[in-house]
Amino acid sequence: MLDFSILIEYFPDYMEGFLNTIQASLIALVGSFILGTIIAVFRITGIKPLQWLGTAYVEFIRNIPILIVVLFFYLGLPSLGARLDGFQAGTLGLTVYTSAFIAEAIRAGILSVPKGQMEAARSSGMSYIQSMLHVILPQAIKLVIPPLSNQFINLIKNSSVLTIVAGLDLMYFADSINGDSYATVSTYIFTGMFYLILTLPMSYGSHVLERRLAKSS
Amino acid sequence: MSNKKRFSLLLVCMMALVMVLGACSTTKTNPSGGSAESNTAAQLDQIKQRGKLIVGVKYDTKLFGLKDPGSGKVEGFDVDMAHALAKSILGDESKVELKEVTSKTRIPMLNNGDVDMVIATMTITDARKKEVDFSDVYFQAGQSLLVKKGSPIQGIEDVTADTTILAAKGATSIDNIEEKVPGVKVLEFDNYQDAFNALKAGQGEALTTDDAILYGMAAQDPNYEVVGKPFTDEPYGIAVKKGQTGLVEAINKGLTDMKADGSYDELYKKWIGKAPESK
Amino acid sequence: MITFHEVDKFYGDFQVLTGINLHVESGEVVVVLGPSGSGKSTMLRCINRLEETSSGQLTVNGVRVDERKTDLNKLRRNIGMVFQHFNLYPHKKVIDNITLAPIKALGVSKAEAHQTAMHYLEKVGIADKAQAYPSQLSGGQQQRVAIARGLAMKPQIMLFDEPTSALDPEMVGEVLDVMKALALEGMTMVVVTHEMGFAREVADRVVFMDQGRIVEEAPPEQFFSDPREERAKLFLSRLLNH
Repeated sequence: MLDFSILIEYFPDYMEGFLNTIQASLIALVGSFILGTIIAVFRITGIKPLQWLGTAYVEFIRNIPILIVVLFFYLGLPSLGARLDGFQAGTLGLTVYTSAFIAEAIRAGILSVPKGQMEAARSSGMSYIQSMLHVILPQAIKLVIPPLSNQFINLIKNSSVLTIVAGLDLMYFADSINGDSYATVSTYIFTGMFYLILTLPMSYGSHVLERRLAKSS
Repeated sequence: MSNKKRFSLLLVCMMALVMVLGACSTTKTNPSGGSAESNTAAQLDQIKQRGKLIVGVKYDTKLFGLKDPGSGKVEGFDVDMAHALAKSILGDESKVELKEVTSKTRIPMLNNGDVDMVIATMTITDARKKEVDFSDVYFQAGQSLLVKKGSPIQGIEDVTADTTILAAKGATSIDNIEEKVPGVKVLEFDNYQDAFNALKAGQGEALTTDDAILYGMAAQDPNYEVVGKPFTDEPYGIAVKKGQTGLVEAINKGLTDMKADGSYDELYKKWIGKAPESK
Repeated sequence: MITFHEVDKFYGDFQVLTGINLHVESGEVVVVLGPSGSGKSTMLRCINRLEETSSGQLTVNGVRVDERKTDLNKLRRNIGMVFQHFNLYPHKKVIDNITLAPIKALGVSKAEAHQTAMHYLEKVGIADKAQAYPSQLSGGQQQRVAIARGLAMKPQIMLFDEPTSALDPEMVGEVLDVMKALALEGMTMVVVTHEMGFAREVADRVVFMDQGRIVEEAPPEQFFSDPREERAKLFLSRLLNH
C-alpha cells in the first residue's frame, strides 16, 4: 500500500512543491494578517463608508469558494489588463480569502477589549490609530491567537488551491507525481505528511504562545 | 512540559501509522496477481452476469466524452464506442452505465474495480501497459499544438525553452513535449477545459495534447487553431484491469466487427467530420 | 478655563443634560456631587469630548470643544483624565503606561519621557513599582499610577471621574492624599465623587446636580451646612444617615 520508493524517486519534485507551498503560505500569512487587521479596524471605526466597505469585503469574500477567488485572479485579471502567473494569482487569492476570516477574528478580539482602554488612550491625546496600534491591538492579539492559528492552519491546507492554476505548489507536484507513477495512495499519503510537517508545529507553537501570553497578563 | 510530551506522542503516532501502512504494502503486493491469473475472464463473466457495461469516460472532452450541461447527457466518440461494445458483448447497446474519469483517476478507478473498462482518449504506452491491459488501437491520434490565431508558433519547431506550454495532468503529452523541447516550461491543469481557459487568459503560448481533442477546442472558439503536423503517434486503446485477457479479446472482437461492417467509419465521420486515414 | 453655556445633551430622545451653565477658573477645584444617574459623569466627559454635546457652547482654554473642526488630540493633551476603573494598559509596565502618550502624542524623547514619568511616580509615592505590571498592584496603587499617567502630559486641567468608587475603603485615603497635594499646587481640577470629606476640605466650589441639571452651586462650607435647595438637602441627609 505504501511505497517508499516513490518518496525517494520523486524527492526533488516533492521538495520543489514543498518549498513553494511554504513560500506561498508565508506570504499569504503575513499579507492576510495585515490586510485582515486593516479590514477589522475599518469595521469598528464608526466611520460609515469605511465600515460599509469592511463589511462588504468580509461578507463578499468569505461567502464564496476560495477556488473562485483564485480563478478570478488567474483568469479574470488578464481581461482587466494585469496578468499574474499561477503562483502569484494563487498566493494573492489565498491572501485575500484568508484575510476575510482573519478580519472577523481580529474584530471579535478588538471588541472584547474593555471600552475604557480606548477612552484612556484617546483622552491622553493619542490619535485613533496610535491608540489602536499601541493599546488595543496588542491586547486583542492575545485573545485572537487561538482563532488566528486555526485560520493559519486552514491557510496552509488551502494553499493546495494553487494547483488549479498550475501554481507549482506541493499538491501540483503530487498530482504530477501521481500521473507519472500511478501510485496514487502512496503519492498522496506522502503529500499529506509534508503538509503535517507544516501544520503540526504551527498548532503546537500556538499552544505554547497562548500559554506564555496567558502568564504575562 | 506536558505540552512537549503530547507533541512527541503525536509524532510517534504518526510514525506508527506510517509503519503500519508500510507493513500492509509487503503483505498485499499486486492484488491482481495470484488469483486473477487463474481466471482471465472473471471481469467478462461479471459483466454478463450483471447485464450491464460500466465504462469510464471523460466528461470534459469535446468530441470524445462531453457532458451537455443542459440535458445532462454525455456524448462523444468514446461514449458511442461504449454503446457499440455493449451491443457486441451483451447484445443491447443501451446496457451501458457511464462513470466520469479524468487523466488522474482513470487507472486507480480501473484497478479498484469501479469501472469495467476505460474509454477515455487514453494513449497506449509501455509504462501504462505495466499497470493495465489495452485493447487494439481504437483511434489513431497524434499530439499537436493549439494556439491563438496569429501566434508566432506555427508548429513544434517554433517551440523553444522559453515557451510556456499548457497541458492536462497525467497525460503523456507532457513527457512528449519535454522530450522534443528539453527545458520547455509546462504548466499542468486538472483538465483540458482549465488548460484552455488558461490559454485564453494568456497564461501560456500554446496548449498541447492529442489533435483530436484540440480540434474539439478549436470548434468551440474560432479564435484558436491547431497548427503544425502531429509530432507523435498517439494510439488510443481501451484499458481494462491487468490480466483480464478474456475481456480484452471480447473488446477486440467488437472492434474488428465494427471495422468490417463499416459502422466504425460511420462513427468516426460523425464526430471527427472526415473518414479515418487508412493505414 | 472651562465654560459651559446652555449645554444640552440627548441620548436619542432621552435628555441627559439640560441647560448646563458652569464656569471653572484656572487653579480652581470644583467638586461635582449628585445622586447616581444625575448626569455628573456625562458632564465631566463632555469637557474632553469623550461625550458629544447636543447643543450649547462648551469652551476649554478658549477653544470650542463642541465644534467639529477642533483638533481633539491637541485639546486632550492639555486635559488629564482619571477614571473610576483606572483603565491602565494591562499589557504594559507601569513606566510604559506613563511614557506612552508623551512619546506618541507629544513626541517627547524616550529618555525625557522616562525622567518625567519617574518624577511623577515619586510624587504619587510608588516609584519602586515602575517595572511592575498593573495586575501586580493594589487598586490604590493602580489609581495613583493613573494619576501620574495623566500628570505626565503636563496638562492644565485634570478631570477625575469617581476616582475612589472602585477602591477598597482602606485605599481611598492614599488616592485622596495625592489629589489634595495636587490641588494645593494649584492644578485646575474637576472632580466627580461621593467623598464628602474631600469636597469639604479641598473644593473651592461644590456643584450639585440632579436629573441632568445643575441644581445648586456654592462654596463647600455653605453647601454642607446650609444647602438652599430641597433636593440637595435630601441628598445630604441620606448620605449622613447612611
